[in-house]
Amino acid sequence: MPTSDRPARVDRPGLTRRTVLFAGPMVTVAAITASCGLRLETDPPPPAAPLPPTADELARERAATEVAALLGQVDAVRRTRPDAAAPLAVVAAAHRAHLAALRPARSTPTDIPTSMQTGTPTGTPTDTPAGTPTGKPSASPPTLAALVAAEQDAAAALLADLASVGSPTARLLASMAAAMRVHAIVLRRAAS
Amino acid sequence: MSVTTPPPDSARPVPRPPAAELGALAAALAGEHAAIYAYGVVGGQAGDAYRRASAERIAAHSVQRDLLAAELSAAGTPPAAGAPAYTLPFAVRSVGDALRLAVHVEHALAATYVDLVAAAAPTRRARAAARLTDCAEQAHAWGAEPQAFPGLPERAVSR
Repeated sequence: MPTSDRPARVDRPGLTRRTVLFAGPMVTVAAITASCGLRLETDPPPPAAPLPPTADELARERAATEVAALLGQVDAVRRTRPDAAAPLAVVAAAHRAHLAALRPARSTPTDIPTSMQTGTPTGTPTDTPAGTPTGKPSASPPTLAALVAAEQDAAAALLADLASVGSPTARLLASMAAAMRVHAIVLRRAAS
Repeated sequence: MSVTTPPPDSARPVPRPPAAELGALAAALAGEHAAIYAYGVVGGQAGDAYRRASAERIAAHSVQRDLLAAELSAAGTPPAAGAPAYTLPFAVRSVGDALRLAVHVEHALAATYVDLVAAAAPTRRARAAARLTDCAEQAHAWGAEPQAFPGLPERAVSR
């Protein structure tokens, strides 16, 4: 009877060579993903909640809302007071620059998160077309005198945020508030 | 057992402002010294029509100078005295030159007060902002076009 040095085949139910070869890598992958905190799922993970806006972002957006409202009022007055076109153009140009400084990365106001909007419609840093409401709603067209008051109120609103923001935003808001106070002088002179 | 009562507010030491704020205060004081000198030149060259306005600005800037000196003293920093004379940015030989110098003075001071707004503790920013506004208004009163960003020359809008 022929003999062989090969060991006799041992039957081990449930643990074949094929099973071991297949299970080995699977166990390795499972171990790696588990150690990384990963789970093998078919659904994508839920999106991370957006970070809440900072005090600076909120203050800048409040200021931008004020400026956009002023710009809307300036445009409305320009239509009723063509004799004051020159000073109003200067004021409008300054406010467009203010909006650009406050929202440097923003092309349209639709990018503003709802949580940061303060209820007043905002405009783009350009002249708004006739009939487009951008300022605070009012029953009658704004006058130069009302615009003077609005510039002063906006300046006060910007200064109210000085104590809660960082230095770069503080210097920007203070400078813009000073510009608004000068606007009030310019517009008061035009009204008289 | 002894009970100690806290000292009254007036006896408590004033917290020393940080170095950046002290530096900005000193720069603003230097600007006020220079402004007072410059308005003397303005008053001398601008004629009767502007002499009173120049005198009013000397008085106003003297008040600011004294307030700034007091703030520095309270912080333990001796305030610097003004120089006997200053080099003007350009020759002043006419009324137009004098008006231009007044505008230059107010614009330069506005920049120092913007820096003070940035350097000051949040609760002390309002005072610096008020001074900045005064400078912007006065520059306009002396004939300057309104600026979109007073005190921020890097943001000057060219028209």
